[in-house]
Amino acid sequence: MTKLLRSFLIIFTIFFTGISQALEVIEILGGKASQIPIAITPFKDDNSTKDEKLLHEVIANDLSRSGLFSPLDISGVSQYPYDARDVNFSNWSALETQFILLGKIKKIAVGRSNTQLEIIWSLVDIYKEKTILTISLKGPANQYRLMAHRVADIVYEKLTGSKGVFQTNIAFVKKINPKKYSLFIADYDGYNPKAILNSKHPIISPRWSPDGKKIAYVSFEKRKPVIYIQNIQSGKRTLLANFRGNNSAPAWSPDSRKLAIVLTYSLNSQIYIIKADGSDIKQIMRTRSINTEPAWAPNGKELYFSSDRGGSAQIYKVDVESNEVNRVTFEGRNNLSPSLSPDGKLLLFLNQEDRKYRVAVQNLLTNQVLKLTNGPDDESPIFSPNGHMVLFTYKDYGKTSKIGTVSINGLKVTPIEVGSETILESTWGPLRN
Amino acid sequence: MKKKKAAELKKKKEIDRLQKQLLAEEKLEKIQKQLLAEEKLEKIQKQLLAEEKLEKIQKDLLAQERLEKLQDNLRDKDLAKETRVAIEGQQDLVAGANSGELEKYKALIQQKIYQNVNKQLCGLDPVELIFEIVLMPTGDLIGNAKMIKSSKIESCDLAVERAILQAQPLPMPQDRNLFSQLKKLKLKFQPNGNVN
Repeated sequence: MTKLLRSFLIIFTIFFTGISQALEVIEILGGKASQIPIAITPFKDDNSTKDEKLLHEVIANDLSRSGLFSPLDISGVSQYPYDARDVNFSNWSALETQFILLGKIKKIAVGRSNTQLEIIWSLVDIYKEKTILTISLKGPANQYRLMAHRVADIVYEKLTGSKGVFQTNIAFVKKINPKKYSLFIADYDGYNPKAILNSKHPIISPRWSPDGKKIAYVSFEKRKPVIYIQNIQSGKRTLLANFRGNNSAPAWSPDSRKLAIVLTYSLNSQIYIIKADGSDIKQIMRTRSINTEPAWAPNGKELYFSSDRGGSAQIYKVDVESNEVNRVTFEGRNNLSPSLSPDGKLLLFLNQEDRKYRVAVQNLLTNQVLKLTNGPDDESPIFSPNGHMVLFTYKDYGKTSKIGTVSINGLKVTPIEVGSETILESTWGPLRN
Repeated sequence: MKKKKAAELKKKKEIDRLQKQLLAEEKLEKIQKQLLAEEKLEKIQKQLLAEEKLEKIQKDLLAQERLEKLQDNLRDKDLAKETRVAIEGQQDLVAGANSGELEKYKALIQQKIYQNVNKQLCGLDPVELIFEIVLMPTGDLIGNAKMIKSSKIESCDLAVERAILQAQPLPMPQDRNLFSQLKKLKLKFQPNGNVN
């Protein structure tokens, strides 16, 4: 009996250890920065206008601009599905797409002048042969672009886990002629521009407050640079800083209550912090070297800034309370114009090397630097509110300044078309709640 | 009166001119400062460059060392195997040869899946995921890839799952004994580099 039990036990042991040994482990360390292939097919529409027919293209442009997706060229496809049930998985999988986005547009007349659109769309996983989302959106027909951006935002968040920025706004300064400068706000892709300020004098360094309500900028209307804050909705302007010397480089604190600014009040450019109502100004650090271009860390406790204290322009950070300073950038001849990603993990800046100014990003955990653009004359990089894209200024062949976006994987640079005039500088508004 | 106005206008013009000049001077000063800074910097940069080079060499050395260690280990293993083979005879000789083949197929599978891991969807912090898969002799999955450990980032879990699905068919050996060892696999992912 015991013998039998023992042999059972032995068999048992062999059996189980046999199995655990059979499970080979394969370790896959790292990965690639690739783009998700997605097919975005034209939506079925009954009597939509020509513009509305382009709805799927607006979605495709959004996802493409992010650098995380590569919309499939579908010009060769003869028949599009309009319903998730009609997707032929083997056909689409042969086109090596991972997802397909499809839908229908319906027109609902509300009164005579107010046409509403209903978009019923689905996102389908080709590999898993599964519908991920089916959503119906309604909105005014003349806001079809905004509806398309909303679709793109939902897809973006579902597949990347981060909020999309396709419904956000940007602001930029256009030099209409040497005697006319205008501050515009527009959709993030440059559509629907609206001037909120016209001035005879240059306007630079616009900065959108994190709460979305105001824009701070530097104006030369007092025959020297001074800082204004303008309420976007009411248009009301208040003079924030008009101290002796130059007043420049405003940077909103994450809570929108304070700004870091730069004054040449004493010897040279120094950083100060001032409340948004213009009170309580205090200097950060007292050094002989130039300290400029402050940018807040998302924790509101540190400022990143550029300084020539080490001989060249490099980026440093300072603890606002203790004034303790640490150098942050080491690669490259000069590094300027810092700004922080919303999670505080990436530092965006302008890198100068070989007579070229390029947009670069440094991972603050590993200190690895990735150059996102090729220059040679890039300027004023600023993060999108999700930290996945960068808005920046570049010079085209005619040497006019233009604006464009680059994805933080460096895979996608896309111009923003806002006319032929020179763009001085730009800023990106926060996410909508 | 006219004179006064003219004088005022002149004064105003003069102020304008001065302001412009000042702005220009400021720019010039900036440029000069930068030039000076650049000169100073070149020295520092040379030093930094030297340091960088040194670091690189050190890194290379370290990598070399690691490689040597790895090779030593492998050689030791092989030696051990050989010894064992010598003692235990024919049966283990086959197993030894197969173990080389096994490693080869594991490397091929690893490569094919790695190509598809889109680490951008996994944030920046180190994360680890573990999946278990069961394979047909064709290299296609039987059923789903089973997630044993999640990265706790939904987009990352899905991206890694897609990487596995996309890699089908996985390279599989003809040899049935070898296949039985690769039939069920545990896949360990660290898309943002080593967790430890």
